[in-house]
Amino acid sequence: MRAALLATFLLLAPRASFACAVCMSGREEASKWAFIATTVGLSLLPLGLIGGTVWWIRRRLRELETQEAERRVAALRPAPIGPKAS
Amino acid sequence: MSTPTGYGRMRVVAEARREPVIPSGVLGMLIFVFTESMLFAGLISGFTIIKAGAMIWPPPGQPRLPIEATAVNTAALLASGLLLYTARRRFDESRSEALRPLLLSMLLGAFFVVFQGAEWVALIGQGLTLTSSTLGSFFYLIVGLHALHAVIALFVLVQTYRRLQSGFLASSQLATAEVFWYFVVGLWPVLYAVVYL
Repeated sequence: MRAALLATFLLLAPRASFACAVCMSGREEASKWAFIATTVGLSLLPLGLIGGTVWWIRRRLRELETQEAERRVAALRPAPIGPKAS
Repeated sequence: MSTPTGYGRMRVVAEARREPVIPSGVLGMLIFVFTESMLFAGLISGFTIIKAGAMIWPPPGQPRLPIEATAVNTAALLASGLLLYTARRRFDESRSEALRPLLLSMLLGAFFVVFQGAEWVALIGQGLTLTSSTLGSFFYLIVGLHALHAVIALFVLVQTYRRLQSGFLASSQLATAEVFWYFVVGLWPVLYAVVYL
């Protein structure tokens, strides 16, 4: 609860900083939105790429584990008894 | 006995299978694709900010980009990606069956590059050059860089096709080529939306 309150306060507290290129570079509304959108995009893209790779590795690990388990079960199963070769 | 987790679990699985979780080629290509993604993201950001700050867009005296014709070309590239996916599916079942979709995928990719070249010739004739305006500069830089990637990826696909033909193509080699081509295919609609529309 305390952490949520602190996070809310931190999100609401900042005002435009004069040292911030994103806040100060665009004078018109369109420019400001372009700066904000590209900042969000450039910040989230690497996280998305790394997150996607981690998710894919986890999925691949599960696949390999399943295959390995199936192989072990198949190895333990007794071989079918067929007609004897004369 | 406790179940291994994290890296330990990865090692146990890899040792049991005698097969890496990610083939080295695929990992290398992924790292390359990530760096290239950030390069394109930077260029797209620059273009978006310049476009948003411009009073008039496209700049006066500059031709309109061929939106309709490029949409057809975009469809050709997307179809090429789908054919490569089909090639992978067939490769997993019967290797020889993958030859045809892979060849068609390459041909559509080559069509995309040739069509882009023809488009460039027409635009240069209409006065859109690298130094004519910010639109020209960004257009040739972003679209040109993508075309360069498409050409290199096509060479990779040709090499993949030749290996498949001679029966020496490993699954991981096809996967490496796939990662590169899917990057080229997946990036293009984004560039089309940002630069052309």
